[in-house]
Amino acid sequence: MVLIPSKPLHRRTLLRGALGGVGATLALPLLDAMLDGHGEALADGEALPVRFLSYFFGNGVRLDQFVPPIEGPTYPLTAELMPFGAVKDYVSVLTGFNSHCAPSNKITHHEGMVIFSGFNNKDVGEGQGFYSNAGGPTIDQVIANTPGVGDKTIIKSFQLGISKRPSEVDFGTTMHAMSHAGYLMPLAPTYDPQKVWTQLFDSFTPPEDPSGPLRLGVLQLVRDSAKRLDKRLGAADRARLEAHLQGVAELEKKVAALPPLCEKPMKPTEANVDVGGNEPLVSVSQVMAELLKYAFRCDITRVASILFTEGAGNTIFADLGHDTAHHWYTHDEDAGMQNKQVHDGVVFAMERLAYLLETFKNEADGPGANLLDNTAVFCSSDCSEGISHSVDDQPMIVAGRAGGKLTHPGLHYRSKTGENPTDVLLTLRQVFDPAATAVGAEEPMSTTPFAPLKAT
Amino acid sequence: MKGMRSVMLSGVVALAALVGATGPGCAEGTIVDETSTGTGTPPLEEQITPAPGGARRLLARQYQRAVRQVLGEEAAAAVAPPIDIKLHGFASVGATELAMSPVDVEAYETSARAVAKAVTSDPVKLASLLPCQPLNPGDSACYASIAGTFGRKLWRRALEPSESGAIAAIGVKAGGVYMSAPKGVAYVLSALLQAPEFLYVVEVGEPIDGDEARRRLTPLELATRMSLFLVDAPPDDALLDLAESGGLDDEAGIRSAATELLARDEARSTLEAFYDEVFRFERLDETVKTADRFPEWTPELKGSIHASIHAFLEDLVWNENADARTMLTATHAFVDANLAPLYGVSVPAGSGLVKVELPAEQQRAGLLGSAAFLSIYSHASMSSPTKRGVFMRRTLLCDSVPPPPAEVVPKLPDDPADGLTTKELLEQHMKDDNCKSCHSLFDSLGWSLEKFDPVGRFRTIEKGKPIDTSGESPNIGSFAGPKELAGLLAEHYQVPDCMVRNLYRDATGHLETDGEEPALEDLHRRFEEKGFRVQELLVELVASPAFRMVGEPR
Repeated sequence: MVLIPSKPLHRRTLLRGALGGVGATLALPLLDAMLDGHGEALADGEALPVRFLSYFFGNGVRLDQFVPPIEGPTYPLTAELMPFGAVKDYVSVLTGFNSHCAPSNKITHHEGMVIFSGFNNKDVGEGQGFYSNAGGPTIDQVIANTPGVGDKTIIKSFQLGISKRPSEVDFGTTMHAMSHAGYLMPLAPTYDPQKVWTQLFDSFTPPEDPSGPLRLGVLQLVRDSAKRLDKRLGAADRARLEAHLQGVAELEKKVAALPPLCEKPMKPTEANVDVGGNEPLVSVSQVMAELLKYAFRCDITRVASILFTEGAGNTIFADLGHDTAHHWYTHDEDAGMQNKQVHDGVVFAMERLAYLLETFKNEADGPGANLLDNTAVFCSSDCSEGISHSVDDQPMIVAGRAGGKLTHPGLHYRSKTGENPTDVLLTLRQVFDPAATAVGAEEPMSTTPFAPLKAT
Repeated sequence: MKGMRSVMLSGVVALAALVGATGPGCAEGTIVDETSTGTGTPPLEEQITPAPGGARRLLARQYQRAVRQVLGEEAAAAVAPPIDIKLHGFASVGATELAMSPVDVEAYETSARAVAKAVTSDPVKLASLLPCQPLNPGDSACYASIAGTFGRKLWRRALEPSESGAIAAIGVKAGGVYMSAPKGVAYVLSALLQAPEFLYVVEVGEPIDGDEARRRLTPLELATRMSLFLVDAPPDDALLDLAESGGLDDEAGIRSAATELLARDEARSTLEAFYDEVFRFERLDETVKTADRFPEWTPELKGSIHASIHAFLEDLVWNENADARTMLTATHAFVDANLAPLYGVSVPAGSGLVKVELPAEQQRAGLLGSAAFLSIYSHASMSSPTKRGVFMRRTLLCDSVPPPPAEVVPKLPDDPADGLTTKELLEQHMKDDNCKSCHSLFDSLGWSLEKFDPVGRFRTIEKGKPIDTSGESPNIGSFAGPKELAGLLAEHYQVPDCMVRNLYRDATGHLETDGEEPALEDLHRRFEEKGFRVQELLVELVASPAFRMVGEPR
């Protein structure tokens, strides 16, 4: 069920290499328009872009149903990996890594989010117990801020959310957002596909529209106002104003940009509104995958994240006949039904990710390649298994070939020594920034990339 | 944000030790002084170490009310500010600490443009709103006058001529490009609404006797803080005038201004939003119940439940001006045709909510007997004494409840035959000392409400067994059922104390620090002297030195 009615993206056309001209009437993907004569690089000689997506699902897996019994590229798909059948060559499964987060970080679920940043959480347990904030930028933001990545696109990065049922045990922001620009800088996901569509495809200013320069004039007044405020404030508030001005800069870029040349998808009918008290998780996941495909193909952004369900969230998988939150099932396990319900919920989450990976794989992107060939996806959860909350052996999936920089076919690797999961983030960072030497700080920091993931 | 008060935690810890709790988590905590209030102490203002000042972002509802107050209903209907993100359960704390994202900045632009369009689309209405009528699309003087007039209301201070001049210039430019004066006005408004000086509320004050760390809010800052706290809107012209003319320079002036603000309709919905936030009633909409067990759990019923608790609180605070502790002990509720069957009372005539006495045998008391509380603090298919008990500790008593220690596997015992009641399951769970140390503090409080099922309906039997609602809890006492527990809570020192704290957190956008404790204790005392009336507390709170002072900017 694809809910975005749209024409298929056309492949290369006569206007290859052209950027100017009658942009508004062109009906072709931006990338094809921008390709050089051989279709192997951008017209300005730069390599075809690699995209990055991080993906989160809450409450872990059932390790006995998830971890493949053997390592290497011939690993079999276990019950919880079965959804990846059509994209298995693109999927690496990394197990046996143990979080290096500080012991004081451990308040259940929160500390698992360290796997996306390599920074210990801050403000842990303050006041109301279940409280923390991300201690530094998440890997998607580190990559977005790499020269040649976020600065090359109209939108530096974008954050999507699927389930709107928040965690009851996060009085901070660590789990309510999976992308953080830094400490106390959560990037809240957008849950409504119609809003996503507007943000990504329908908020550009045609060159002939006189509002563009006027809006930029207003934004200059915003800068002036911030400057006046700045003088009166302390360091913490000045940093917040700086973040505000960073947003202004991104908006200025968007206002000043020519509208993308590619054909935009039609506005989705899906708005992520409950149906009969249930969330339309399947439909929203599909629409978000489609929108992201267009955004990546059109080079509107190269970095995104998807928060499928929150850690310890209240999501109920009504599609599976569940009437209780997945998180609760993980704490109400007995030998009977609940085992199955936890397991089914994990499979359901994997199916949504698999749909996205298939969507990318089925989308051509450059000569002889598909979008998944040119994307790196990092997926993990807030714990290994919900019932234990352990951050030893958190599930990690790395998908896509990242422009040939990640190993293919994918493999299963099981660490015997509880290696640092941040090593995997460093490897991914180096895809975009080969000179990078570290990710994170303090205990969970990595300076040693995880070699088996790199293409040889 | 450091410094959730640990005095309360210390009480819990001591009693945790009394019940033989040995596990980690709840056995930690520091004991903090109880401030003496003997004679010969310096004035309260000098006893306080104020929390840092700085800039807070307007909450979404404050943004909307600002637009409505200044530009009218149609303008307010067009706003779409970013959603507030909470810290510690308070949007105002999030607004103090969190940075804006690029998506937020764009949302503010989109919202400002939509408001400007709504305001300027009808020339007749626009003319009635403006302080001057532009003679032509390039009427710089009139644009500057518009910027000055609306700027003062929105930025909560008078604009410098250079500031209104710069904004007028964008109006002239837009007016010229479109050959339209309304377009010029639209850009003037858009610029005012996107300015950080509108979006951030600055509270840096001025040093008292040259001490940079002890600063008094300026009259305009104080007027803004009061107005935003009490009516979720910036100060209107009258309050700005009063502040500028020295009317808020003494406590009598502040009390009088606060009383006037509380007389406005918005004061009611502002307090309602506070209760929705602090009690988390805003989550009713997304609260799901097992459909085959609770077919009555419909959007209509949820709507009635939400309206009912609003009516209950509004009646108590505004109509009756009653002792706030009756929030816990009241034996009445507001019901309509949807809700009456759930409470076991006869369906009222007519369509609205009616105040009714609840059946005595159910022992339903106040907030903790309300369907709103009972349903939100439950699971989809079963009640949750833990959630209910944690609410009492955390939200009613302001105890600090630590998360489970890392080495504990939080798992309910096996019950393959499905024959154990919720209480029996939790009792087994508490045989583990690691669990007991914390769960003994709240689970037994929750047991008192076990006769109310996951939607708040009365029951006497679970899994074929009669339900026992008796229990005892450290530093609370023992009780036979919900009514007795409500009585114990209502008499508990920490309950009104916690009411003060929660309002103070909302009002100031931070968790109270140790340096502010003398002011909070003073507020508690005044609250008691005024018969625990919330309206009086609100006035006392804005008159408190802690509300009027800040430390060095963060």
